Amino acid sequence: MANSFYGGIKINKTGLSHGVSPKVFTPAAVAINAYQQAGGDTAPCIKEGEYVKKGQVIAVSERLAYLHAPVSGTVVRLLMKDNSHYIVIKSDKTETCAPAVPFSKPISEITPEEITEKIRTMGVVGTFSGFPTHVKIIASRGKAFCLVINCVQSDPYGSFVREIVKEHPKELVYGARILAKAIGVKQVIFALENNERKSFAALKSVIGEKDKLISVARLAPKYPLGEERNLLCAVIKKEVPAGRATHDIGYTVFSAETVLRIYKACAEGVPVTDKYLTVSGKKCVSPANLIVPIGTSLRTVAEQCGGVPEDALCVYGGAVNGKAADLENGCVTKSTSQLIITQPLNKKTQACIMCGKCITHCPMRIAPHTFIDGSHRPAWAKLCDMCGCCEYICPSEIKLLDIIDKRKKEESK
Amino acid sequence: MTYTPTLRDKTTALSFAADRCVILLLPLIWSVYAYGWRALFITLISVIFSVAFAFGAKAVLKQKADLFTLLDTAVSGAVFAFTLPVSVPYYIPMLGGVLAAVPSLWLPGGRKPFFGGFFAAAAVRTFFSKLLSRATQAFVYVSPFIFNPTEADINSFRTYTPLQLLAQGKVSSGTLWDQFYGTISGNIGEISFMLLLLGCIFLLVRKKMRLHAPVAFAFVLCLVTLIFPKGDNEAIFFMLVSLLSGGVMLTAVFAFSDTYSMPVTDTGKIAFAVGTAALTVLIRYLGIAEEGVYAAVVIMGAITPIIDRYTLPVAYGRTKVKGGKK
Repeated sequence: MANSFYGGIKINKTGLSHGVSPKVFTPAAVAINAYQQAGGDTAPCIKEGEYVKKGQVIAVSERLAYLHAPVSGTVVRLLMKDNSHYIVIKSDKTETCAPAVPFSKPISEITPEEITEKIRTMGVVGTFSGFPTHVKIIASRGKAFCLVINCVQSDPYGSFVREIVKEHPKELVYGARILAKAIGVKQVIFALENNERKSFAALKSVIGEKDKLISVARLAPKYPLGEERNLLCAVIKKEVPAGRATHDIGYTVFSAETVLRIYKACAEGVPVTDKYLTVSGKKCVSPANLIVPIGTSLRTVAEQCGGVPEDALCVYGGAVNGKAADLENGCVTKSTSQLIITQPLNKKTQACIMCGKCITHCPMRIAPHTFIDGSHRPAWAKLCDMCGCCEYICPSEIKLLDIIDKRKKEESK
Repeated sequence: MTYTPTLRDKTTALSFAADRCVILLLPLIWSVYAYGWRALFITLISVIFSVAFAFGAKAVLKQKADLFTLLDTAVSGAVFAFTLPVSVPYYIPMLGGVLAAVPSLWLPGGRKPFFGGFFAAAAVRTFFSKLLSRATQAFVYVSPFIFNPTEADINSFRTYTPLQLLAQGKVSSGTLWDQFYGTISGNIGEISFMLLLLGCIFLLVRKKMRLHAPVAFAFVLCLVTLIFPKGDNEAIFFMLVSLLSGGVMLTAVFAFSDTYSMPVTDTGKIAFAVGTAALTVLIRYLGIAEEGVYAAVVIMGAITPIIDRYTLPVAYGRTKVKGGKK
């Protein structure tokens, strides 16, 4: 099949309508974990009792992205928990913003280094992985010649990426141009699912017919198309060699929300203070896409959408590879993407029947069933990106993700 | 922290066994029509002995026995009965039913060495090859109440199956269409190619079987018999008779849908099917047994772990695969 990748599963979209623009709300208090990004903790630069404005820098680091106050209000507490700083801010509900700091000169005169520094100080990190964006830009610079913008959300419950593409095509294209300049690529491809006709039309009208830099690719929808390596497989029909990064074969992938953040940081001077996320699921009263200030507790987010019924299960992450959410202590971070309120699956695990379905559906073309008895090849544990296709498809209802996770941990020791 | 997926595919392991049970019914009904109630009795005896032995042995060995075991051993027992001519004495399905349940006692958690039904068929054929070659005409009924039909009982309508005739270098009087529909002499469950084909399509549509193995099996079988026809028959005719008779379709439907004894990967399944087809033709040519396919499946089943080891998939990023396959 054209424009697709090996394996994967076709999950029907669950029929929940999220066809609404993301809603914004302000919580009473936020608890921000300063450990927002892969790579390390940031140090708070404010004191207890201090008043902060929305968008003011509250934690800094020499190498990593900064952290900004998601709401205006008073810093109530600073604490250390699990080797990372937490900053608790009580909102005063006024949304007083710190002044925006856009570039003082036109974009054409700014150097790539300035853009990268701006992205860092505005706190942009990867929206799914939490990997600091400026680090990725520097790593790709000089190696990548093509930038792929991931506008795909293949998870059956998620839909905020689609809303972003539908509502902000201009910002995305502008942000893509800035990013292309920062990395120094000669080609930009927007990757879209082929059932997103409105988004496609919107992007096309913004890009224009004769643009040599930017093009749009339409891909067959299939889970997990959103994963970087599967996306590249579908867009350019190339595979990333084992143990290498995507920029080693000349491509680099950024998600649509990251590009939107880059646009806001560079063109408007607005830092990252909130996160798009989808709240949905079978037991969710009013599923919606939300724009949530970072640090909002997961319980507050769930209550915005009608609360959590007694017998429901809250899952943080994907519908087929999520983990149970800690509603009491869990907070929205820069890489939270969805919260699912649903009924638990009662799995009756039985012995493997050797049907081979996990193999035919694994996008990484490994044999997940071999992890059960540990007869897998050593390199496979590293290759698996925990998409959950094998566990979704397994007729014996074996908890393959847990098993593979265990093997991964054993092998990384 | 453990993973808690919220969605899963609705296919269960039980439905694999249940679907194979469902496709047993059509050939069974047809065999009752063609051979009378004795066909049903033989099948029932085989199924009952198979299930009873499996549950009894599992209780002794302290293994778990559930609905899945029941359906799985029932399929094995019934498929064994399908490989018998209707004239066999009733102790054959009793013995075979027990043998058909033996592979299911293999420890749970993966591989069973053989497909029970064919394991029993191959074993019983070794001991009772003469009894099992007494084919009778279709639509002439052997009484279901004779425990052990003697030569005299069936002599008046004794005949040969197309494959037995072919082994002697003769051509059957029936047409190929007779073989296709199943209006010709043969074994209980395998006479009707058409009904088994329907079952095969049912399994394919329900995604309980992959297309690879049956197609590879049929292709290799046709190719080899076309290139090396036996006797003075026309090559194409020989190929079609070989394909339409002798449990070829029974293999394609029941042995290849037995997930326990088949290799896991698609490549492995193709290798298994090619090996089975080649061995089948070889056994038929050497003339030891006309129904070489059961022995072929058992031999290939023995080397399945080796096939599995060498046909593990090549992981992402290790080699280039053109395009994206489904």
